[in-house]
Amino acid sequence: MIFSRNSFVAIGWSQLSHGKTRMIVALCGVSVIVAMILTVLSLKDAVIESTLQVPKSLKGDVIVMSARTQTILRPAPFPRRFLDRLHGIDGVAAVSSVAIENARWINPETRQEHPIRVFGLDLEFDVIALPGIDPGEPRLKMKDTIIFDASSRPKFGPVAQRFKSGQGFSTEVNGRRVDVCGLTYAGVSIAADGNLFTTHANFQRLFPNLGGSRSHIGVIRLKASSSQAEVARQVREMLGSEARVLTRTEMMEAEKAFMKLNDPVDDIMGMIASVAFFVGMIIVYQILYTDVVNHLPQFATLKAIGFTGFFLLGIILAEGVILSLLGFGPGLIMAHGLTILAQHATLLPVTITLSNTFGVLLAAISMCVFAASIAVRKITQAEPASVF
Amino acid sequence: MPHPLATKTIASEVIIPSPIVEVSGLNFSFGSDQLRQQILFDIALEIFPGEIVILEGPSGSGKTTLLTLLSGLRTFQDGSIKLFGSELRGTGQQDLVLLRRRIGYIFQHHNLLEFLTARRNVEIMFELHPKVDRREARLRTEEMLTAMGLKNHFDAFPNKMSGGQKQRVAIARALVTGPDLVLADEPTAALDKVTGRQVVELLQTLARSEAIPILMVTHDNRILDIADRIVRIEDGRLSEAQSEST
Repeated sequence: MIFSRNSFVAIGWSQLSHGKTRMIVALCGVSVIVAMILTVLSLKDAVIESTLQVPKSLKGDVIVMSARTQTILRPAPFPRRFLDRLHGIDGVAAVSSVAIENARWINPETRQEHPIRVFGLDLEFDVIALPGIDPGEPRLKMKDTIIFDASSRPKFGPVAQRFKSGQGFSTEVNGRRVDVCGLTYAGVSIAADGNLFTTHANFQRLFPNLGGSRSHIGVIRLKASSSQAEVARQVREMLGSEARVLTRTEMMEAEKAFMKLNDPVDDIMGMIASVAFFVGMIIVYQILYTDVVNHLPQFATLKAIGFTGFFLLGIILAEGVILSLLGFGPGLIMAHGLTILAQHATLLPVTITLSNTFGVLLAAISMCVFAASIAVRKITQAEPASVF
Repeated sequence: MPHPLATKTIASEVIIPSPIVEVSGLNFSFGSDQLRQQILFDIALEIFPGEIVILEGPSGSGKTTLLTLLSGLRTFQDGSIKLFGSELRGTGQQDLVLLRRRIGYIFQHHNLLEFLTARRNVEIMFELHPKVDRREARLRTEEMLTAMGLKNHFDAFPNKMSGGQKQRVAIARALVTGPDLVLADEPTAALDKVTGRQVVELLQTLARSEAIPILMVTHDNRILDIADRIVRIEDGRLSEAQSEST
């Protein structure tokens, strides 16, 4: 019955659509808020996601780290010979290692020094899946060449622009002259403002004092038939309490949890979304409140002739739900536009996920319903005895 | 006085129908303690099926208060009001709402919902009577509006109608579900002489054909002749003013 011609839903719709301008203003408000919340949430996810780019791109099934390592972005070293023993485990196809250190990068424009994260990779093993890191790239095998992360912060200098324009780019890293031989997109994180990728050989040239025997991440690839959990268990057994051994999925979960706990961006974005939610609620409240106040004598009349408070409540709540549903569509479209802009501007992987879409739909509905339920309190002041 | 319907006899037996409205010993005051001001004194009133009773009196005499009490919109402590045989005093809100649905109300101001057409302003009443199916509701709405001379205004919004037309929509709204009692508060106050007359005559015709009793508050001398009975209220006391047979 609630969809019949004179149900509270239909009456709510009539009331809402009778004032076209007012309804359009309200819908614009809801749409903009929806777009804003959805964009902010997507950006939030993108920031988290971008810091996970490096761990995500590791091409391994089981990951070995030092027991002291909290996040793969700030790993503690362990002796590389640990990894050599793992070849003995049944099911292990190949083992490789990644070395990670901070180096001093000089911006040739300003002559200022900035710490940059350097990844030493085994290119034969094809250990990392990032765009632009091609194991077959001959220049990468040359002495003192690096691949620069183009999503690094601008303070490192106009590396990408110059490289793309064919001028080439050289600078000093840890006091050693290096040439940029390629660009990649790995993403910045709380651990690093910029990233470099190079071979183990070049890595040793940059950090001669470390002796080349240290490793930070062990990457194990399995034979097709073997189980990640089982191999991880055997590796754990073999390495003992010195090592932290995780399957790929466990590693990603641990990294996400670490980011959520340690990165303020999560809280800040969440706060912005909440403020937007609140502003949206006020907009809808204002619209519905005026609606209620302007119709107080009529509502009092309806009450006097036998309509219940629930019916009147239903009218206003229906208006709220209708506003949220109608405002959501345009808001979703706007958010898609905004995220495309944001993606171009920030180089972050900004995408609108299905779960965020549904989450924001629910948020929009509850925003409008909440606003309606505050506005509706005024209806209790519609005194039926006053209509005579 | 003899009730007009009491003359109907079946096998020479006089049947006196039970009154629709039965008020006795009703006192009502606003405020409490020192600020207490008594509005109504020892009111007694009976309205029988089919009767048109006009309630007249100067402003401030308590007419409107009496109407709100009869509609169960105010609670009272002293005296008795029986509506359709049930006592209003001490009746809970929910039951009062159910009783109110059996009354057709006509107010001084039409109070139509301006965002609904004439048709929907009337049809909305069937939301209170969900047993009536939608086709019948539609039919009865159209019949009622036609009877009110609004055949060409089914889909007009209130702001496109004249004062008289709006008041007639309001009357259609009051009568469409076939109420057991009509309470009208100065239904002609906002109307000119001619439309005012038309409106009360429509009301009279419909009331007669459906045997719906009407209690009408009015100041309007021009319409007193439609009443079966006129009661006068002055300083909160009710008295029978004159009697007129139809």
